[in-house]
Amino acid sequence: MTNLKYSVLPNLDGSCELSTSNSKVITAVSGPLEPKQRHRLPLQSAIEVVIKPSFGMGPTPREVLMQDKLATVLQAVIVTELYPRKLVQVNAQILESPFDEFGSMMGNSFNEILSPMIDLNSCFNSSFISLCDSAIALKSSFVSTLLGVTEDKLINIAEVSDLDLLRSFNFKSLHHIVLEVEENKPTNVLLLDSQGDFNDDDLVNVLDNAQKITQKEFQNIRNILKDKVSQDFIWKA
Amino acid sequence: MSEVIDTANNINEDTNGIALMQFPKEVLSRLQPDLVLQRHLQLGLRPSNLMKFNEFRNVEEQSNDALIVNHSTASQAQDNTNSNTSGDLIVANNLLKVGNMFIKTDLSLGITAVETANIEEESFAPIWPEVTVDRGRMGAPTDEEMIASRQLYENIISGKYIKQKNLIISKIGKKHLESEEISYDMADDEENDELLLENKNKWCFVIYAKINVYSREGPIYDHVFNSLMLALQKLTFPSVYIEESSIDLQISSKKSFNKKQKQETKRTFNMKFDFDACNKLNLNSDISISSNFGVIYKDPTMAINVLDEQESNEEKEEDAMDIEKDNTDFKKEPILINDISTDIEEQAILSKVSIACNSKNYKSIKLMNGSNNEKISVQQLKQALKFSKMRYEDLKPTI
Amino acid sequence: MSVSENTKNLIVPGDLLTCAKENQTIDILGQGIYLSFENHLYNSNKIYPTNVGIENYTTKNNKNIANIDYNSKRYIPQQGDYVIATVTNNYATHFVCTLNNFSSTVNLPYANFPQATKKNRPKYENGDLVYCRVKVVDSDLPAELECMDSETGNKEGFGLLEAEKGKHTAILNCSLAYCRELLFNDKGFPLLSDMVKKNLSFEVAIGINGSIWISTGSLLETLCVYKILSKCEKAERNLHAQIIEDTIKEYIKE
Repeated sequence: MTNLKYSVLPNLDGSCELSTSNSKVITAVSGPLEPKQRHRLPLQSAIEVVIKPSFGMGPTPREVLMQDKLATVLQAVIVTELYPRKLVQVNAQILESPFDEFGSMMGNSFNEILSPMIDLNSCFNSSFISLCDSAIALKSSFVSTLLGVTEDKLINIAEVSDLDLLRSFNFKSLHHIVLEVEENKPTNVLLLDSQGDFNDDDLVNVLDNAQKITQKEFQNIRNILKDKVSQDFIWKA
Repeated sequence: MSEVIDTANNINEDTNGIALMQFPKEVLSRLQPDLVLQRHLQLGLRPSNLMKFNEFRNVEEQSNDALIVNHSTASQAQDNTNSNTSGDLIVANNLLKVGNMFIKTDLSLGITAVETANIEEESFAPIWPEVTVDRGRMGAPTDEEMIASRQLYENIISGKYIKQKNLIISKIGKKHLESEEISYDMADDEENDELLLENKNKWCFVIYAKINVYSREGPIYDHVFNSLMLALQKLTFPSVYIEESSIDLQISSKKSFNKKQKQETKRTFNMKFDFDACNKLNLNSDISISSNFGVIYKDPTMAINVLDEQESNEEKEEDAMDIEKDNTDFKKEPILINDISTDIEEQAILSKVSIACNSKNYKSIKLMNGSNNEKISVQQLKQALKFSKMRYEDLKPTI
Repeated sequence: MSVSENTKNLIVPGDLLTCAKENQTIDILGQGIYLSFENHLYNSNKIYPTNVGIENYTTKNNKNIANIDYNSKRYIPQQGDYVIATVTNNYATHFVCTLNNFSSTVNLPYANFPQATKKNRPKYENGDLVYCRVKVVDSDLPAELECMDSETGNKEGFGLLEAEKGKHTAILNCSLAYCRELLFNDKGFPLLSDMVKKNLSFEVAIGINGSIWISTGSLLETLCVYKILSKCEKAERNLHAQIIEDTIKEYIKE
């Protein structure tokens, strides 16, 4: 089960700490800020995403690719025209990844791809709460899901808590899906990142399941936000 | 676009104080790529070479085998391997011409020690790519280059193209000192059996890819991937041998008084490639072809009414006002664009999808909706998937 | 209305607003509700919520107003707002001020002071706090502040926030909704009055950019007021009286 803590960093506009069964990230959103000259766009706000890995210096190319995916989706969700010539900065620090242990990448070669996908999946959900916390205008909500397809099963990777099991799955394909949520229902696909071997049927199956998981996960997020709003106005009650 | 310049010309002497400027097409397309693209879309065409919406650019594979090591250059290069002035040996390459863009892929090899016992049957090898977009600048790689490199790396592993097992060097030869002949069968030479046995299954090839993109046009990733795939198909591995002379070197070091040092020196070999005995790489999976698609909506507010041109400018302005008023008739019409092929399209189309597939399966899909108003729907994705299959079939003859 | 009752109508970006559900005409869109140009053209003026909060409908002068109540930390200038600005730079015609750290700067022209002449120029140092009002907001220009009521030309309590001799001052940063409530809703939210009733004497300036300036006669009193205000932000309403009593006991009557 995803565990979310909002407003964990009091000096930032919005922040969130998210932990799933196998990963943990902290994200922060600041904005609208005064941008550097090169970030200044005449009619909309620029979005800067920085992701720091769980160990070592970053962002390395692995994180640069993750940043690109996150920034593109945020571009579609944030009402950028409300903040012209401003900057919205999203920072994410991976705190725990299932592949932190030395040598845990070895063996299954899919681990190399699974590892950034797990990190990014957590970053997506966490940055949504951070954005809500920072009161930056959003067009809609979104929920991110990571699914793995093995020979006979479909696995929601965020729920696998046994790390050894996670490292040894024989995945045929991996699918990272971010769905837009409107009126409590998953609607459009904002990001679909699929890798491995798969066919049309797999894709339909994965999208169907992602919608179900999104629906469930969004209720959880909604409850967290309900809690956040009542905490925000606690002095009123 | 000619219309834009015409309009600008006519109202040039505006009394508002700010004179209207007019730009040639090339400049306007850099200033307002979305406007230029929309004007083209209204005509049913695309900015680059007036392509149709569902048209792909022509892809030609140019042969430049001269650059690959052949036997004579290989032996020359080998003599220089110690000084390493000749650079890497290119074992396979590909030069792809996509529209006006050139992509050059050079594959080279390295050798590394592995513990073969740990390699599972279902373990797949990466390629270590370095993508460079040549545009006359120096310095650190740009985000685009890093993203393309990393994506190649991930997609090569997940596509399961190369089995790690196939990269293990199972046999190591020995070059005889006197005869200058290389023997790969160890039974011939009992004296050094131990040495060859020790090196059996101990080493493994590593594949490096150096990819250069010249006259970049539009997103590069898919074409870079295709070029790499085509080069990979041609990849052959040379045999590896040890020169007897270098073994001698090691014997002399046995006289060292320092026992520890003896252990160290024993491990240094002078391994060389023998291009006379090459093996082709067995790909685990058919190569795939990647293609990209974008979705843009035809924007009626940017349309130029053809009737207007005959009417006077004043009426034209009134028409513009009318557009604001009765907005109920407006409808945005989505257009699926195949093969995003110019900077104009790249900047104006925010929702893109890139699909790699072969005749059996899809290998990767990367769909990113970068605009909330112009999203790729599931129907359009289905259409794009169909096109990508067709594209694979189209390019198969080149393969 | 209690908050628990309110949160039933929690609005999250992407939700359907009650007014849209009931096909109600909204004349004025408040904070947190947005009509995009796109929807204006193609989607028959569909409005959508952009923030997480509670929807709120009021009718004033026969106009329906809709907004979303939400709390935030970063202030975006709006015309007519009372703010506490920090002077960061000065030019020949204006001061440059900030309302939030790292936000875009705003301008405070010398002409926007009472009795301004070319020679009579206020002498503020960098880092000084100024209580002022947002005069003009233009999406393409930095916002403009004023230190007077531009209709009457009176000072109206605006100006430099400085400690008089023998006074102690402090500035407290808190959330925007809390500041708004303290400033505008003294009847419904009588925290400051309650504090005065407990014999605390203090001078206060509330900027709705999230800054509260306090000035009292002694350091302990300043600390006491500061603590009460910051504790009450994190506590339920019925605990406020207790907090005031406890903090006064802790700092003053010992």
